[in-house]
Amino acid sequence: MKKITVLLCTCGSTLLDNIDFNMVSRELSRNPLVKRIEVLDGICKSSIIKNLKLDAAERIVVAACSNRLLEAVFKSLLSFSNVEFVNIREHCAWACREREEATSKAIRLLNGGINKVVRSNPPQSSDCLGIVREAMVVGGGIAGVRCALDIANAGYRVYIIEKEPSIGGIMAQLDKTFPTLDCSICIEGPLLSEAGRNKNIVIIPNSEVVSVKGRVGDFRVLVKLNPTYVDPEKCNGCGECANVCPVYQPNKYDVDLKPVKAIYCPFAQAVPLKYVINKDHCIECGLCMSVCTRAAINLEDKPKMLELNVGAIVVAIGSDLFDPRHKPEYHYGEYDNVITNMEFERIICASGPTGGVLLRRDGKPAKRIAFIQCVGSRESAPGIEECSYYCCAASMKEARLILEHDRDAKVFIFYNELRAFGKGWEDLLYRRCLEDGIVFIRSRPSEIRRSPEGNLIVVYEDTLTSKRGELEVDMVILALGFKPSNRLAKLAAVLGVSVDSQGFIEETNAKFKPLETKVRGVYVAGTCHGPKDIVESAVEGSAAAALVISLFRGGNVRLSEIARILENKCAGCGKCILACQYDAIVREGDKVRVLESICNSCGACISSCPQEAISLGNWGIEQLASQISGMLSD
Amino acid sequence: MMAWKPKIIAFTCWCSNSGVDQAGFEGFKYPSNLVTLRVPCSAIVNPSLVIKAFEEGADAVLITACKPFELRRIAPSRITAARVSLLRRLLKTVGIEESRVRILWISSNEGEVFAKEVSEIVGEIEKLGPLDLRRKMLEQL
Amino acid sequence: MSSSEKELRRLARRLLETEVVQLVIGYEESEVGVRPCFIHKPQEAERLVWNPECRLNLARYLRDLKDSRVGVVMKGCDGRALVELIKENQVDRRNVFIIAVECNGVYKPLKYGSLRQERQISEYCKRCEVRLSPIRDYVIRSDGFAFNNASDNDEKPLNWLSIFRKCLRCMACIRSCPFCYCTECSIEGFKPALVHKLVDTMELFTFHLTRALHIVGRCVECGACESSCPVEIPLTRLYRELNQWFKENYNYIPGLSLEQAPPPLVFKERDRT
Repeated sequence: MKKITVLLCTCGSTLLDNIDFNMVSRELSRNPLVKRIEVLDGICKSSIIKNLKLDAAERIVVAACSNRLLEAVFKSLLSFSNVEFVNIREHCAWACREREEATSKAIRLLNGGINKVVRSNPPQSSDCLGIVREAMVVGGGIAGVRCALDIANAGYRVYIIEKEPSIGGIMAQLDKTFPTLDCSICIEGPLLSEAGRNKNIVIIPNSEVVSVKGRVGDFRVLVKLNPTYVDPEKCNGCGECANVCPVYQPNKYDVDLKPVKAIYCPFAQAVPLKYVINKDHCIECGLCMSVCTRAAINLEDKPKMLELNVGAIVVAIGSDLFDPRHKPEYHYGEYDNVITNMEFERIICASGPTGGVLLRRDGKPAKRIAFIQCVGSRESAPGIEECSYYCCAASMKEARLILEHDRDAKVFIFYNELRAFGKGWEDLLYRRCLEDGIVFIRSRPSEIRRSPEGNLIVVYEDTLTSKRGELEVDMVILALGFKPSNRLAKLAAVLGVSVDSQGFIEETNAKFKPLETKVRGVYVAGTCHGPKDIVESAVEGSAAAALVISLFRGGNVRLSEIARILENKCAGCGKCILACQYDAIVREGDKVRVLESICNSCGACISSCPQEAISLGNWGIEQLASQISGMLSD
Repeated sequence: MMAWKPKIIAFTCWCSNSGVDQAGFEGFKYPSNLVTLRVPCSAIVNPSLVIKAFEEGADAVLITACKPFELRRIAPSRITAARVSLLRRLLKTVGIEESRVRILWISSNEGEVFAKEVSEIVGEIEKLGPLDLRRKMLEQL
Repeated sequence: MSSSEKELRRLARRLLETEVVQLVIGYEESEVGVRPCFIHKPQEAERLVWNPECRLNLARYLRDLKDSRVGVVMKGCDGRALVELIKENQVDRRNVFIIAVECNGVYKPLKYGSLRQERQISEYCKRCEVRLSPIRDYVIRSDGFAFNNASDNDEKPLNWLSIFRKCLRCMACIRSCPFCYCTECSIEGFKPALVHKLVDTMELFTFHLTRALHIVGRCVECGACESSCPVEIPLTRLYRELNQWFKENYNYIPGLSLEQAPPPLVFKERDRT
């Protein structure tokens, strides 16, 4: 005979007025399953539980307050005994008008609980699965690097998967950062080399995630290493190869504005500082091989596959910028002097193509410059509906940079709403822009025309004065909005995470789980989660690192809450696949399989299975049917 | 002799269970002949369990669930809604009033709504009278 | 012997001789009436019969024959059941050679003591609209017996609860149903979660309603359960009611096409109240 201990809590004697505990005890003692009944005064006091000297692996029914409060109190007991919570406070004592009513309801609730706990399967220690305490960060931009450093500093190994030859992301390409106008690479460079030096960080450049299997705590990630034709183990970054290479190609780092050799290192502060060959341009003359003293070059290099086993994955692959060619009215790509803000960043940078002088393509200096805001953001098509967050501040920063280089320049900013909400943005950016005489015009220009002299004419309507106007300038800079990249959709599909209506990675809950995704153990940080600036990206990187660390420190993953297929029973009819709203069940041969990291423990599958071939904790038909009959017995 | 009171079982999902808690916290009273059975999500309620509850003597079964039409994201309670509709059709076919199976959309802050709706439902079931399945089953053909 | 029966035997013999199939499943005459038979040798093809006594659903037997190629005699409803089984991943279409025989309805089972001449077409056949299997490899047209149309006035409401009481729980309905292929039936009573093995009248309610819930949206109304029921519970009528619900809400009729996937049971705007 199974023995059950019933603990009744009077909630500091406050429930005595509502419920006749003597009557309840009397009724329950008639039940042959019940071994022991204790009426306690406040079960939430830890001393009381300790004094009870409860047996391990005992079946316990706790009648007290809401399970939400009790679960914390009984956390230690829950892992090895069967504990069933019965809410006699909120659901019974406080909800009934008469004492007799509450008493009889309490008895019915308790009978249900007793009947259920009798049928419960004891929790097994094997229900816990270990965690691989290594993390993977996909994307080595500022969010990814910050995240990797924080995880690594907590003592866990981190792999950074970066598609480019160097980590750094967009921030490495910027000239200055707002609002303080300090050098971007001067801030990021030390961070990158710190990541490169950290013993816990393994940077895997020129790579991409191909497939992900497994669940939280135990992901098996297949990574494809694209060939670089230079052995990174041997290359010491001396650059002799680039000196002799006869082929020039546009450098992606400089937004194709400045040439590099076919064997190249994207920028001086690159981490890792290794040369790579772009096979699209390489003519395989072999000159580089002849000068390389370390024999690092192998023109026959092939893609390699690498399997990594990690416990958590942080997605930080960033976003693309809107392609301004989708807005033909601005004639980007057609008129030489319409440029993007990324191109501007490289031009104004001292290490850029013009050595930091703002020149037009025809070699003339640009004196009158207009910025157009919200190109590809805040309109449903062809861009995204959301505000791109960074561009108001970025354009003000760039306007100030122009004036720093050339006091005589005249700058106009065509804005829709000027959003200077960040720390220091009002003071260090907006006010100084006004003081510097930068002209703000509230308008989304309808067209850019070209004058016979090669200048540009911006056609606009000032929405504050409702006056139409035309402004002749030397150069127009388009402030591009963020756009989710195609790689993001691909990676989301590989990981099984969902994307929102704009195409950014969707969080579990925008308010209190902002960086967790549909898949447990997969977190998101940076602009692939939505438009944001450097500060915010770094914040998200650190926050995602905290989530990874708390997963690693928190012990094991309890699997008792995950639906499990009983394989010897499953007939493979697939009704559960239809029922699962999370797409967490897939067909595998004749049977089905639960994707443990996606399962949300809702139980839609177990109730759709015509037999009992799926189990989920103690929520099976057996336990619930038993509870029902207990509740309805007289 | 005591007056007849209907026996009602309410399956409460995690969220709406908090709503029922809320009703208690705020002191909203509702008839005591409704007992709550907590489940992790309304989708776990096998329709057969509702049938079983009737067999065991329940006069009505209530399922409280999250609102699938308000949730932006995935809501397993979409399934519950369909199952309740199916159950009602089944009960109607075999000659049991379909209003004995109910679904109630309760968010975790809607204690007052819960108390009010439950009082109404209990009133309706009282009007319908006992289900008395045993008598109906044993009736002569 | 009807011409369709002749054609059926000739086809079965040829299929076995040419080893297109290793086995033909059909019906044969026996002392207990028409029953399913399994023909392995070409010369045994003469055992096959085709008449309105061929009630049972042969789709039931296809599930276990995974590796060999099987020829099977199929009525319209048998074929529909097979369509659903294929969609549920239970049968591989490539392993089945479907001999679709045009069906004009089957007789109600013979009651004890009644005469052969009094045979009537089954109720569910009167409502059937699919006389030929939706998927087929060979078609045999048939003649010989008349097809009755349904009359609507026979639909008087039934007292289902007291009808359920007649049930003996012999499990004949489960044994004959093509969709009852669960490894461990949850209402058979061997693992008493819902229904116990000891006959309790009240549990018959749970038994029948649960069974109805398990096959709604799959049942093809073949009547195999009803015709094998020793106490003549008109189960097909109950399941038809539920299928009606399925059709109204999800616009899905089981077993009509291999392409149309069964819809998931999800919220519709009307379920709001």
